Amino acid sequence: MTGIIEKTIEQDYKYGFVTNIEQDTIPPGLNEDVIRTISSRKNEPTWLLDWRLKAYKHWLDMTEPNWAKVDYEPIDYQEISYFSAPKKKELKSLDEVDPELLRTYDKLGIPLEEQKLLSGVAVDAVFDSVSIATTFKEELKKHGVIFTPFSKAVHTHPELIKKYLGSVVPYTDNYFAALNSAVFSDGSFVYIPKGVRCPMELSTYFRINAKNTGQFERTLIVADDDSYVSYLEGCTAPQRDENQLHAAVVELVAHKNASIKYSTVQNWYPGDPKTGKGGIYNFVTKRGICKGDHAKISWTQVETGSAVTWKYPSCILKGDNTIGEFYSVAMANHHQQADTGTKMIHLGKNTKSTIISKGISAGKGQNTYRGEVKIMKGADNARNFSQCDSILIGDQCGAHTFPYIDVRNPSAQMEHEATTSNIGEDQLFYCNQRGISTEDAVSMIVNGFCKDVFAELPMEFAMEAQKLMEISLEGSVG
Amino acid sequence: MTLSHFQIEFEKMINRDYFSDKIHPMRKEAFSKFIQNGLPTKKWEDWRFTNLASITTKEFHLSEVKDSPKGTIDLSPYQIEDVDTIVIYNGHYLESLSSTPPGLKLLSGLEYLSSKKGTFENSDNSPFDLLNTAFMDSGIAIIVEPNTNIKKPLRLLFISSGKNHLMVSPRVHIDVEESSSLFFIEQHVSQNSESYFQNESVFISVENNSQLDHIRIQSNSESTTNMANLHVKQQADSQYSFFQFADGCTLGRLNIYAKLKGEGADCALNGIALSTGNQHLGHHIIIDHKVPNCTSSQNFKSILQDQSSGVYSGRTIVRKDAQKTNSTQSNKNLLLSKDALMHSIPQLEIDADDVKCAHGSSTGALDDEALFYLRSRGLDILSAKKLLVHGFVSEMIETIKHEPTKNSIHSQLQNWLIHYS
Repeated sequence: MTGIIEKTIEQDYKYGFVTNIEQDTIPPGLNEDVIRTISSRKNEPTWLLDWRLKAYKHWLDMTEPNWAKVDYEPIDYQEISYFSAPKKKELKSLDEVDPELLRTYDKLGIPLEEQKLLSGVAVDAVFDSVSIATTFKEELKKHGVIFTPFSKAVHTHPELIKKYLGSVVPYTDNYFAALNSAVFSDGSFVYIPKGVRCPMELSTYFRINAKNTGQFERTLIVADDDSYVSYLEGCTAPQRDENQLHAAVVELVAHKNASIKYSTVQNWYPGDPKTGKGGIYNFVTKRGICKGDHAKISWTQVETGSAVTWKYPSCILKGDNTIGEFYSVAMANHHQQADTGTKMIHLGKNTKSTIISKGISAGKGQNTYRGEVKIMKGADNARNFSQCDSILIGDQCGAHTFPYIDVRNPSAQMEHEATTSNIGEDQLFYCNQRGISTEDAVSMIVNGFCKDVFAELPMEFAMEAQKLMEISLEGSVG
Repeated sequence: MTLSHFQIEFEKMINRDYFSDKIHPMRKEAFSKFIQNGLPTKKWEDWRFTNLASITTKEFHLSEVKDSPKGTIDLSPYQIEDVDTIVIYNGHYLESLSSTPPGLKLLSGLEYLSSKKGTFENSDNSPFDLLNTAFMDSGIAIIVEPNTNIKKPLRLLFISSGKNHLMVSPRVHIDVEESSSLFFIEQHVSQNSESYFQNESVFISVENNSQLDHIRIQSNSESTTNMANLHVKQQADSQYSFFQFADGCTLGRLNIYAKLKGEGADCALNGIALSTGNQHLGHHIIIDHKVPNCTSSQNFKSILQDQSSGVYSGRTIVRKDAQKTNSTQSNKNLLLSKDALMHSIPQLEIDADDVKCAHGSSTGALDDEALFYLRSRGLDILSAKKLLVHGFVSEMIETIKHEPTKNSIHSQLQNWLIHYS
């Protein structure tokens, strides 16, 4: 059994390779000029530049948060290059995409062509910072759906961007959100008009590639009254030795009766398996607001990568009868550290939230669930159910749970439960005795453990997630 | 109370001739550490929800000889049958009113210090621990010698009285030596006292194969601030069970730091907090599993009325080697008013894989269906509510092993319910 454990723990990151494409990068360092450069290269309007500069000034006065249960080498923000874009731009079809890049996606198992033909998923592929290929534009256009790179949306739909940018995550929100607001490179903008059910799953693949490049994505999704959208985000990154910072911001706005489903599979390079060296720092601010009555926001995440994860997708339930959901599987293997969870803020009447969090710790991994459920005074009949379970695999890892629960309304009902355990010898014995190998049994048990969350993923992601889990976990329990 | 005011009181303390200067170095060290960090603010993670205004906005004074009782004091309201009682009045030990059960060794802080070769346990876990060391009274050490079972429960009765804005810092050491047992009650009451600040530190050591039952009844007046810092160390196969009943104080905060240092130790911490008006009652618990095969449980309930608020912050730490740990946390809260506020933070920190740890927390109002059921049986709404509230906490009181203590707490609960409307 120890053999199996070692085998899994030693398993290397499958997606570690560097694509050689010419990059357009500005020198490392951060100051007002850098921000002006980023802004001018993107031909941004002045109001956006002003907003960036305000964020930068605010960021200068902030200190890096240290309350998370993670340890990492201090980040030198002057060592990071804040802009990087592949040189080729303005492509009309997939054929024009750099073949090297397409091969990269092939290696990752996400060929654009195939997706275009078979899966019906429109892909806005982000390679480092600039969107390269956007497919299924026409189909979306027919329905009036706007799905476009952020930098483009600033020009085509400035009134929407002006209205919603920073409305959920203001630049004053936290250290990394402020940094992102100052230097964000690109991202996606989605607008679903009134009464439209988005005809396909929208998805973006993020990939960090250029050396020493922080990636600062900004995603903004607005669902107008009575609309529905499901957004998929998946990431992998090549192997390298220096830590890379990823500080993204995602903002969701759901109006009356609208529903947004946001799914993530995150599998960035977790660092060297033996030493924990390298790997991505994933410090992300994700928040959605249910503005109108009966709106719904659902976060689903499968976090298997990154050296350090600091991520709390949250819901502000402002409208009456709104619903917030958070489904998460977080896996920390080798030297990975994950401090992740959610915030559910109940403001409206009859608001409901559900939190299902499954943490898996293996090797020397440290996995922390940190969540907050706040039921404010006006939230009559608010309802929350939280369940955070952890599995520990091996005696070197840690699983921690820090839920904060504030209740200010007596008609609210909230429940929180959590368990931490390992995979029982009796469970394994039972499977063995039925002729199932230990490896299969472990895979089965862990998949069963995560089932509640995987069931929430869109089909395409469910497959990928299950595969990722198997790669990371197969046989690592004994 | 500002730091400079603390400084003035500390000078007074140091210059008192009836305090032994053997303890002075200890006091000075603790006080200088305290001055460095000051009182906690809401920016300190552990103190986020504790409003210390009841301490910071007042000026407290050390208890002087003049604050000892004049004439006789009536102990009948605090009568509990079949216990021996040590009475501490405004920090003064009243020997004439006190008795101890046979077999028990009672030492003053100074005697305890010399029996421990000049040093005893202190803690710098929180500023209030430091404050206690700096300002501690002459101290009491309760020692149960090896292989001794003390049959009769021992009670420490703390009475706060007078209008002199006193600051009292009781220091208690309890050593339950090998294969022995004790049933210990501490009761905190007030007699017409005004803004009183009690900062108590208790150090408990439960040795191999011994057992300690600890009941804490906190029913101070509404103008009292009661800070309790409880430090528990448990050795192999020891059992420690704690139960607090709290319905007093404007600010009452219980901090427990329990360390399980010997295999087979069992630690059970329970508490009920009943709050009305602007009261704030908090439970802040840390249980640290340092060795394998230990069990621990936390079970805390709060009932909140009016604008009162409460905190349950429970943390179970399971160290790397502490395999086969079995630990549970349960926190249930009943909000009886629209303005009440409850913070619940059940936390697990686990670094061992072969463990079973679970926690649960729920907060809500009385169950409408249960109320309807009772009303359909002819109960009026108030009696039905009272019955449900009573049922919510009485199951915990039932677990108290000493009958007279149990009855006394039951009647306190009934008293509290009389005012519930």
